[in-house]
Amino acid sequence: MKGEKMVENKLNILVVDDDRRMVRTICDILKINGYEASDAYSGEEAAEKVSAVTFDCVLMDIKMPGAGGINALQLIKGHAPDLPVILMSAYATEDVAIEAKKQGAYAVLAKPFDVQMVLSFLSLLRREESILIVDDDPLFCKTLTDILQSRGCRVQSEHDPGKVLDHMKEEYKLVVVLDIKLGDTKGLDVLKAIRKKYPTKPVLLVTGYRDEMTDSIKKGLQIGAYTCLYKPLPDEALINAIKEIRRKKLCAVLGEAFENAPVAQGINACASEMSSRAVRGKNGQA
Amino acid sequence: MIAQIINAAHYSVTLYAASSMLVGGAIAILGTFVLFKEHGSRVGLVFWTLTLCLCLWLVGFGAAAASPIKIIAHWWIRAAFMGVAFIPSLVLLLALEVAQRTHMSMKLIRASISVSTLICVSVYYPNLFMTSLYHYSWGYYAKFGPLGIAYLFYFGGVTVYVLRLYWTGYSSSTNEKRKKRFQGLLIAHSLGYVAAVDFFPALGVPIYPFGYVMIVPFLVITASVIVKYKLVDITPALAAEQILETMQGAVIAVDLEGKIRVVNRAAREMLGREQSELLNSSMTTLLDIAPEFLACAHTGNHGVSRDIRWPARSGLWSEVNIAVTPVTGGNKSTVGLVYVAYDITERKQAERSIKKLNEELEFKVQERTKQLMDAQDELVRREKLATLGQLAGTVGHELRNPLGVMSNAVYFLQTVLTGADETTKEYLGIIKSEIAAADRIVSELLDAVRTKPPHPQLVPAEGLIRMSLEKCRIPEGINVEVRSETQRSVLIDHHQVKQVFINLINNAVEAMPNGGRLTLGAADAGDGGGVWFIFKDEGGGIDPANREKIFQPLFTTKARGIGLGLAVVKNLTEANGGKISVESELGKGTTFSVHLPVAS
Repeated sequence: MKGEKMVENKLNILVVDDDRRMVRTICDILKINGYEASDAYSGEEAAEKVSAVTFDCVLMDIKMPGAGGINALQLIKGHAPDLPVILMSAYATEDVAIEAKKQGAYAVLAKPFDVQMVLSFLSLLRREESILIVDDDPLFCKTLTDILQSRGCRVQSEHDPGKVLDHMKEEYKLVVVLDIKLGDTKGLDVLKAIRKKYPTKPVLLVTGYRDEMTDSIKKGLQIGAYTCLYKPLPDEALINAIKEIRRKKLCAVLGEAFENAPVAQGINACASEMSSRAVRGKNGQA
Repeated sequence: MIAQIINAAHYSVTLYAASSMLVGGAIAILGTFVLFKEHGSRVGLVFWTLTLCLCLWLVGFGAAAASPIKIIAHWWIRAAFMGVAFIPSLVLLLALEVAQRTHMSMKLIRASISVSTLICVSVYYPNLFMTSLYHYSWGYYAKFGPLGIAYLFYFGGVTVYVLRLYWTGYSSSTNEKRKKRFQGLLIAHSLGYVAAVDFFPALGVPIYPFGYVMIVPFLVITASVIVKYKLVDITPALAAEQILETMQGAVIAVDLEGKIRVVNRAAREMLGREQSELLNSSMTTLLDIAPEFLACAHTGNHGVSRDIRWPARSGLWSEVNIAVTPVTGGNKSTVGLVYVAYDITERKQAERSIKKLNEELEFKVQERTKQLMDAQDELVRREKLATLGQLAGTVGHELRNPLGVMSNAVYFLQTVLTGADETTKEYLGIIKSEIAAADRIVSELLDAVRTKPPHPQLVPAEGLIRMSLEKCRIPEGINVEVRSETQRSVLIDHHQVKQVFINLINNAVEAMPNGGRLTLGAADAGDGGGVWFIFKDEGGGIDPANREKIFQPLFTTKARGIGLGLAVVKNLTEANGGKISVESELGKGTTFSVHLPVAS
């Protein structure tokens, strides 16, 4: 979320590798693409720098003398738990990837990696995205907007289901929070309309009718809703869900499959789901 | 003279004469009985001769006593003394035979027979052994001359020696039967020697010669000893007969005409016929014996034997080892042949089964050897792969770092040189694509050498195809068709099998540079269980000459490539308990079939 606050400034990326030419080339590429780039040549040095300076992303080699990438990742997470870390390795194997993701790495890229992919990731990281809330209850919209704005999110709200698609045109939306029980038009119809026009847009369903709505929710999830949350909304669950969606979208850029969260298991379940997946990157780059 | 002797009118029967002659006759009968009982053994012969001499003595003296005519009496007594002369030597011989010491005492035997012969001869010389006759109340009786006195000493000496011999035999015997035998003979002889009282009248002492009475217990005891214990345990004749009947080998003796004369029990049993059927029948009708074999036997070669088949009872055949030896008569000429046969049916069967087992063993050994060699080849192949793997792993990974840097550098240049001329841009593009090509080679190499054990999980068959397909770049012009005919899940390591499928899909795509249809399918394997996956392309097909080699590492027909793709496919498939096969037709296309296991 830091990226959104620093919209006026350049993102600062820390590049860590014991291979100096690797660090040099990556830094140069980042710089000509409008990023700040710092270098570090060991895991220890990286952890030190993270504790001193605020970075927006870390790109780090796994196999390094001394503290390797995985150890350094743990140190970095200790200083900045939310800092996105992308690991890279010439020795990328499934075991290493699984371990790295367990430790919180966004992705493990196999060298030589697709620079364009990393740049796409960074540009998404840089972009400020807003959340659209669609609910017929103005009070609910208001409170949710306040909550999300206090967390640094840009929020828009809409009471009229008919105007939802107009909002979508205007700006890049990270997520749409949609109340499944709407006055005239059924929430599912709105969902269908969004899915049709923007098939990759994550839609979070919200409902106050846990029991009666089961079928609608099932249908909604079948159509492709990300997950469903029940009113009254627990703030943390919603914030976590939004964070997770953002993270998944970022990971998707790095080649991870974007998967909707399993229902009723809470949002964080997707992290472990993702960790079981294989290293990506080989097929997309050639 | 003979007419006078055989004239019954010249005799008047007295009690003494009758009793004496009766006992003499009985003794002769006993001797003959023993001779038969002992199967004509030497000891039986000696005993028989002894009884004849005793008989001669008793009958002679009896007849002499019965005759009132002096001349006739004299004739009978002389005849009787001829028997008496040999009694000591025969008693001695019998004792030595029973004690089985004949062979050690040949000189003694010869000496005693010589003495007896001399005495026998001297009987006919007047006034030497016998001077004249006494006439006692019971009739005429002999009157000893000087040699008669000497004979008494000879008789006495032999008597002592014989009794001592029996005594020694009795006291030294450990065998109960033998002891009883010596005991009986000792008693019988002791009583029998009382008959020496008959010598007293011959010396002029008028004692009634009741010797024949003492011969009766001698007779009874000796007879009972013979019946109960026999005179000797074993005689060669008895032994021969017993051995012949009890021996395991079949013995058939034939005469010169080939007629069977002797068959033993084993022969009868082995041929399954009665003795009466066999005796006098012709050997050649019974057995088919090669003439040269017989010729061999006739020349006197011993130990000529061969294996033949022999008709056993109830139409069965036995296998026998038969040996033939000639039997020679007294003048060393051949009088017949003896066949000795042993049943070797079981041995032959055992030999055959051993031979069969040996052959089977040999076959198994060859089979195992082949398996071992195959395993060895496989091991060498794997070893080769493992060594290659270590090297490739190190080199490959290390290559990726410089490749990464190069890739970054090219990207940088492409970004900054946006205004460069087309050739520069083209060259940068070439570098970029070559880096990608190099990386592909490294990836293929690393995939080939990664030998991690699989972690099997249940994965839906169709899902496996779709997941693999997602990871492949399918160019324009290739039409992919997925046909899943099963809902089953396979039990495999999906990372590894996906790699297999990706390789096969990429392979199929590369086989169709001008486009075509790629058919992917999954179907139940039916009886064997498991699922078959197919990857069918419409490419150029595989040259039949290369079909065997495509799964070998480092084999490739592509201009670019190190020939590891299909080696990886085979290794990973087999590691996951699967198998792979390929069908291909030149110009029409290739189909790879991968069989994978389901949960048992």
